[in-house]
Amino acid sequence: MITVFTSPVTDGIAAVMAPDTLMIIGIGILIGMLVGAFPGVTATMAVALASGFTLTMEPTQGLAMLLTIYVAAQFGDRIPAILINTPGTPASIATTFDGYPLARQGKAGLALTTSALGSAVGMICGIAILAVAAVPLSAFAMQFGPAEMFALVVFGLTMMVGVSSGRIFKGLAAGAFGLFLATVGRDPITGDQRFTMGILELNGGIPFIPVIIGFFGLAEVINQILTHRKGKGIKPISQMGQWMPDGKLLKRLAKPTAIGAATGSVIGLVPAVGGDIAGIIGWDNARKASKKKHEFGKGSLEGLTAGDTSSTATLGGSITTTMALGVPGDSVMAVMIGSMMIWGIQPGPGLFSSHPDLIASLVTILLIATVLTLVLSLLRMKGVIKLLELPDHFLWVVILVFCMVGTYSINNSVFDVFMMLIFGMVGLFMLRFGFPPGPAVLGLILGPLAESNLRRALLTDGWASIFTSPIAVVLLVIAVLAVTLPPLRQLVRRRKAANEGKKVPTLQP
Amino acid sequence: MTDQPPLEEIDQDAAIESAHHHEEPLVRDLPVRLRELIAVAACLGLGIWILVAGKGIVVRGSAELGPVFWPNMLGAGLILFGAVIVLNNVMRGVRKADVPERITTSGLAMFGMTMAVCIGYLLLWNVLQFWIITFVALALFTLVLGGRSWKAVLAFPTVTTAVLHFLFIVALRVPL
Repeated sequence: MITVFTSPVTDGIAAVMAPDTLMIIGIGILIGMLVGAFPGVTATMAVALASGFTLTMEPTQGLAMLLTIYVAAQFGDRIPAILINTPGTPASIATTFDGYPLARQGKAGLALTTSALGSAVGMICGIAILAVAAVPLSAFAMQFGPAEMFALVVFGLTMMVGVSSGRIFKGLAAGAFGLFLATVGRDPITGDQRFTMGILELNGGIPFIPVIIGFFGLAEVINQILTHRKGKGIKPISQMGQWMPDGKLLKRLAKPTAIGAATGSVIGLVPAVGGDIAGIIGWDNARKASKKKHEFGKGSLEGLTAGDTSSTATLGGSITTTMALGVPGDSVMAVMIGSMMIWGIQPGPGLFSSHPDLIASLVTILLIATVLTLVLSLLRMKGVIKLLELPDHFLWVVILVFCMVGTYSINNSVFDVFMMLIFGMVGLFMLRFGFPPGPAVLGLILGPLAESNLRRALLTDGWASIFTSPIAVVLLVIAVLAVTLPPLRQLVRRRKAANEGKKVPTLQP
Repeated sequence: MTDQPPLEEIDQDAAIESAHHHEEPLVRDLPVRLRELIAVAACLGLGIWILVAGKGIVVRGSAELGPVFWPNMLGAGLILFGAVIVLNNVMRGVRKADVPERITTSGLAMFGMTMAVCIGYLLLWNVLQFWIITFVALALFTLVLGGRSWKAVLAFPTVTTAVLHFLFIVALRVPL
């Protein structure tokens, strides 16, 4: 008789190694690479659109699709950044600094492969953080009561707002708007109807997937249509030159790779700070540590590698905080939380106790996706250049139809599609007037959790129940600092500059 | 990942300053300030509406910390944020990166026609068969958004409709 040892780890890995899940990972890689390669389609938009058709899948398969799209988009977005100087997603802004100058020097092939290798190293560092930190962090968060849970939601929201540099107050307003949207429907404690305006379908609340697709899909594409100008495109560079880096070059890139990995891993653990900021800071750190500072920004392979490694290393930390605390690491994760809640998986403290196999599944999905995407990225693909020359309208049409059909497929409801259109217009208003949609989506998803925990805490012992909890106080203090420090620092700098007689920078007299 | 749109032209110094929260030049001209006032009006209008509509909520049982408590907090918060935006954005100015790209006349026309096709598609959703209405909608979308060749108006909608049919009806068994 053969004894089969099973554990949550083996169960989690086995769930991913099933042939249909592996096939879904393969499809996710192709979608993600395409998404990344098209400027204007962000990973958030792709995951929002994919959430429309993944909700009918098994949770493991759905997670595999969404996470793989996210991983592959982190590789694909480097292609337009290098070949046409336009980041495929905001996470590859730092790639343009050195990637495009390298391509103009006839080293596009080398830039693409070193970027892919750096991205893979960053991704693997991030996955290691997820594997090591997620379960202990979740176990710690198990101690949280209503007061701490409320503080955690406020912390997550303000962190997402805090990184919207220069738009903090609009970010807060967007967060409050999202929290308000979550109040529509029945009260989570008393069951009273609120703000339903007599619409029967709103009794159960505003469905969040149509809102997410409206905000991140329809609004983005309509904004691109509204601002479209003919002949704006740049012809992609087609001279690839050398493709694979030699051993000497790889040795030289070890230091910037390590700097990028360390920078991104630390930044990734701060909720809501994404790959775009990490990439730029990683690139800047590598420049400071380099002996060839003058090459940075003019075609440095060190700069390219450091930025890309740092940018992708944030992914593991971002998934860790999302899964263990229920606080999304970035807007992609905010969208993913929405899908997970529909599958009956509530990210946050207790997730890994109720789903002990999940951490192994997540790590396996991410590792397979990273390795396969790296292999795909190292292939010499001339077709990619053709892809970049594709006119915008094909992409817009596909996104528009996917927004509509994907939203309908969630509940087979035309009402949901109307909601998506309405929130697409709301999202467009927010985009045009500078309100970041991320905090609004987060507010909508976490609103019931925030409200019910605050009211429960207040009913138990008034405001004292919050201010006597050390964890809640620490989280709230960080939350307050996250939104008050940046404007205060700016004010102090401005005063200092004015006192020293320097002209404060403005674009108007 | 922050929610700023992908940049068309990357200004390295501006990007690094932004990532480090450094000081950036501010735009203070009148159209930008007026635009910011619309954002303020949206915050104030929504905040006031929440407070007024909250009074219409029928509360069963105790009103203290009841269903109106949280919406009232949010309504008041929105009014407060609106007031702060007046001080921070209208009076002080906004970063250049926060001024959105200008809307074009052709873009506005394409937007109007796209929305008309969207509404028509939705209204006929349950009337005509999925593949027929989707093919027609795809062809119209492509036409209004700038596609003119036979490949764009015929081949592209045919292939996309087939992909959608396979994905949603065959693979995911959605009753479309």
